[in-house]
Amino acid sequence: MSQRDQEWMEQYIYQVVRRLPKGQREEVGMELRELIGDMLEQTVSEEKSDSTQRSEAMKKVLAELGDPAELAKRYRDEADYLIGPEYYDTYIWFLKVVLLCTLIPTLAMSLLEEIGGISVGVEQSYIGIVVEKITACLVNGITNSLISCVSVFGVITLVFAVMERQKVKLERKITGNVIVDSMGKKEWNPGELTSIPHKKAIIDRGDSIVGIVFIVIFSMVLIMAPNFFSLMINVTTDSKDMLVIPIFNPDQWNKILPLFVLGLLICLVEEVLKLIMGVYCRAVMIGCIISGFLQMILAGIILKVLPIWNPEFKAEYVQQALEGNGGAEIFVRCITDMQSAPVSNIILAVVIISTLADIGVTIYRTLRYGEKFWDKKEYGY
Amino acid sequence: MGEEREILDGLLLELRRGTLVLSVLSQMKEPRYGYALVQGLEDKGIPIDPNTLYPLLRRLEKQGLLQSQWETGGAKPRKYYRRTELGDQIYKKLKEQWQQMAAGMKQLLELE
Repeated sequence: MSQRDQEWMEQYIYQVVRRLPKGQREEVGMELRELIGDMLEQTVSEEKSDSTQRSEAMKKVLAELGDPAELAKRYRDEADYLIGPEYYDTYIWFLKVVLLCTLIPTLAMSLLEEIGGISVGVEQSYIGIVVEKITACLVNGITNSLISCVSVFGVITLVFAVMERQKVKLERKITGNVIVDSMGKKEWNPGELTSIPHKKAIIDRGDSIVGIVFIVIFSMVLIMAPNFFSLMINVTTDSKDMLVIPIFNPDQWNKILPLFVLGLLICLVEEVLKLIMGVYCRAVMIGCIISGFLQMILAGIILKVLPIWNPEFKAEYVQQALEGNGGAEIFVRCITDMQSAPVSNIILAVVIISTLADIGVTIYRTLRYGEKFWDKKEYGY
Repeated sequence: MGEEREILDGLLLELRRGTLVLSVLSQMKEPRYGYALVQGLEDKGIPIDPNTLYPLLRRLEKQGLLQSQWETGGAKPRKYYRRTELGDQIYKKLKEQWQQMAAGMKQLLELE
């Protein structure tokens, strides 16, 4: 073998082994040297040929072995996909749900941010402001939602890709140890079939998604823009100055916020549970009962224990009223009334009644329609 | 026309791929090195590309069906493969399956 041929061979081998795990490189290199040598001998005999013929033979042999990247791939013997067919359906479904739950809140937040930031200049015309705001909303909304959707897409894909790799490893381990029994593999048996749910036991996934979207939006507003829950009053007639009075007690906000967020988090867990199970069953029922009771306790604490309402509210309202701003008077009075105990009690009662109703419906549907065998005509698909 | 060719090639590839492991295992009672196996199989009318065979041998070794040993005595180092005990068992079972399948296929195709 001439030096030139040797070089070609080594370059070829290098292109293969550099794509392999370090531990395999040396051995595969030796294998390939052996193989190329054998193939070469087969093509031309060392004594009866000149150097040009031998070079041609080397080219022919390497061409026969084909693209080094392709050969390396065969040696690696790995799945050449990110997410395989087994996870694909779940992946796509999950992606749709999470993207939807990201897109809508992000868009909504971007809009709110713009609306919240309105400051009215005297020299600007009303239409000018509106156009400017709409443009800002659109630009902001599209940019933000694009960024968050791309990140969410990335994270979900990463998680599923990792799951895919882990599963591939798991499968290999199994084939390594249990291969003798591979003919008598564990069989699926029809006893594993779950009964088809009654149509009234099916939880509409759309409802769960809408629920999740609202919970996320509300949490984001609470955390990022608590000023949204404020009353804005025009002090002067040309709407130059706005008085912003928070509805909730700003002094207690660091206690109120965690409780609100905790409550929303519990709701979120319940909705996600419903989304995953898709039917009323024991897990959903228990989840609903626990979540319901926690909600009621939290509502009690927020409304009755904490001074949730802004105590300044009344004084500020009175001050405004004195300055003769009559336009907002009725509205302000309505909200001011919330300070009083009866309003808190009414809200608490509404929360408790609606939560109990929700628990009741869930228990009824679970016991009446969930986890039972049904007549064909009542199947839920 | 090209599409027809493509379909046929794809199906042939699948068909051949299924028989590959059995063909290789059948030749591995005694130690053999890779290229000798390529030639041996080709002589018997079962051609296999070296760039398919070599990675396959490694995979079978990893699964514990083959074992290998480097012989450094000759003009150049050679890697010899042979079946392990596990390989013998698997080969026997695969062979039985194949014979059943071949008999079944024969009937199917003759009836056609």
